[in-house]
Amino acid sequence: MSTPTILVVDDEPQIRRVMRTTLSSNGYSVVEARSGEEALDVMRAERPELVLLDVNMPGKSGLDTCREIRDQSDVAIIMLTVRNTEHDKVLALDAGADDYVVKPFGMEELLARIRAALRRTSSGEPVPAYVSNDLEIDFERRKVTVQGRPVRLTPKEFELLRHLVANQGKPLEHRRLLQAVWGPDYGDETEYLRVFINQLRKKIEPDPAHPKYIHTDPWVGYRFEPVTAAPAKGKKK
Amino acid sequence: MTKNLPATLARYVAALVAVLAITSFYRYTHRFNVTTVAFTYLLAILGVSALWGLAVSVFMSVAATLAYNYYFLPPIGTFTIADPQNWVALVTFLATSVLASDLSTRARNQAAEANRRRHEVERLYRFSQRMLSAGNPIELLNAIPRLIVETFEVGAAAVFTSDKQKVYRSGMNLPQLDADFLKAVVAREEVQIDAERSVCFAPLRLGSRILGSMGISGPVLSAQTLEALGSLIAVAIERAHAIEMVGKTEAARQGERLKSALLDAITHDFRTPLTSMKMSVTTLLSPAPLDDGQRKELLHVIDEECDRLNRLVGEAAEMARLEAGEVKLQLEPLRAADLITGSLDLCKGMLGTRPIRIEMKNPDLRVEADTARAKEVLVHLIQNAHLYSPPDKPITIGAEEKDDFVQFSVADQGPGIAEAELGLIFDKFYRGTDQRYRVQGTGMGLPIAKAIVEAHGGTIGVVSQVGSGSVFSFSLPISRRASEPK
Repeated sequence: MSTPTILVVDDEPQIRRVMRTTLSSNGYSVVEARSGEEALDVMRAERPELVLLDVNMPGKSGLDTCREIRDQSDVAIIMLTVRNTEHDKVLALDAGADDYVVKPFGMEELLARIRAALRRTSSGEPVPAYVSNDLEIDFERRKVTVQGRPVRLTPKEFELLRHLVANQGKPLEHRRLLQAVWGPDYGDETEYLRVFINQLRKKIEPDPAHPKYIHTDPWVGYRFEPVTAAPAKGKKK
Repeated sequence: MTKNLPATLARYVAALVAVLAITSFYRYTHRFNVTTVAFTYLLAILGVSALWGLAVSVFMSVAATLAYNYYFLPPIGTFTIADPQNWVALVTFLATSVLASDLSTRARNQAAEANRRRHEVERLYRFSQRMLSAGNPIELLNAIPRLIVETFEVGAAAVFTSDKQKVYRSGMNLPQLDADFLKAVVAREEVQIDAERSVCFAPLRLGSRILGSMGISGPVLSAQTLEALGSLIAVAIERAHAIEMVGKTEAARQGERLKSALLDAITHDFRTPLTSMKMSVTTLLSPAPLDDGQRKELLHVIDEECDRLNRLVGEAAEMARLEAGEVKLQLEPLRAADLITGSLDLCKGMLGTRPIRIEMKNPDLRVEADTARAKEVLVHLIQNAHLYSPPDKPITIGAEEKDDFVQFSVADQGPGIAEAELGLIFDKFYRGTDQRYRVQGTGMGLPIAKAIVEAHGGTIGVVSQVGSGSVFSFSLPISRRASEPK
């Protein structure tokens, strides 16, 4: 893999300056955008591997920009926000971000999150394809089909699903899932899981309010339940 | 009845003269019929009784009876008291007097009463109109006693409110309008009129509630008027309270909105430079391989961002001082032309080759202003115009007299400001929908300018047309002082 390209989207010139200097000294190539609108243009031209996106920008907001990028690409997105409330984090993740960092942050932390976001299919053992009558997951070709229609998952969503299916039938603790999907620096960010599990359910469950594949085990974590000929109902305790 | 002695006397004399005139007329014309004479007397008595009342007409009746008896009833030249004709005449005259005077008195009294009522209603109306113009409840309560005195032409008035237990007076504290009396009226809940001491009291009634009471000393008013007056005052007080409440709620809401905007602005404005600094520092501390250029770049960012933070803190502090009214203005006469050139001097480095036009008809216009702060305003507007218009487009600075103010204007040929934003850009920490008004990273420049201008008693505003430019203008009080400015 050649040097990953990172798109920095921030209206503050000083922050772009520091990002450019620091990220390039760490071996990334950097492209910049001053606004959400510009970011969408640069996305098309440069095809970056990762986007660092400021939430608070004049004009098109970071969240809107994130949604629009998500609509056309499964690029890794890390949002930069000044607000550190649960609500704001969930908003960012809901908009399709893979991760977020709260300003002001240390560069080491940002670099760690960039590495985590760029990491794909880290734990290498192949997982056999999963097939039921309304859901097909081909991990080799990264393809998910729900009731015959292809569904697009973001890298993190796909990774999460892979871990759940690889351990099907077994409840996976929050921490374990977080570390497997995001990286060893994670473990307490349960809201990430909540948001991503919700999105997965919306994409693969016939009825996201009453999931039949991805179950919540209260106080423990999440569990993928393979559906055999007779679909299981509700949670199995 | 108030007696005006000479006038009353004149009426009696006039009545007597009328009797004598009728008597001598018929006496010397010799062509008379006794009945005609009697009717003529009757007519005169009718007139007098209707005009001047009972007493004069009774006196006139007696005089007429005597004259009639002596001169016209045979035997002429003698009083024949016993003659029944005599009695008939006297009784007729007297009866006419009594009836006519009574009727006319009644009519007169009714007219007077109607007049008086109309007058009181007019006064009540005028009073209510004047009460409406008073502002907050305190102002209103202070004004009401004076308004009562002026409108109803009474000696003194006092208003007592139950909620604050406070008496408001038109003048000094009169013993007959003592607070205890006023409190007693609240307890009794009814109008009290003491004609002897010429004081009257009324409760301030609003529906079934009594808000307080009022007392008037001087000519007493009718019970109805007092009752109406009390209700009017109660309504006015309630209305003023309601308006004040609405105002307070609105102010509180705005305060909340401002507070959250302030918090947002602080988190953003202060964290942004902190973020750049923290990122730079952590990179410098990390083992990442940095060349000299990169290291310098990061150190430059830290340096600049320190300045920016410092500027932010300074502006926030200045804004707070201006808002708290802690800034003492050093007012002095200042030539408008000097203010403009002085401000331009301060902007010289920034403006570069930007064309500047100055439009001033009267170069001797002077303002009464704090020189340093007035310059701050103008410098800020010039900076604004410079930052947000293409560098080759001229900036036009003007000053002209307008009533008691000198109006300064700074016009640019930039992109203009959308109408929706015009009213907001002077708000603290307002962030434009684009970057246009994020001046130097703080949203405080225009609000500070506004606070300074307003501290001078002037106003600041902007007109703008998208696509052709904006004109910011502010006014400072004109100086008419004779002394030459330094």
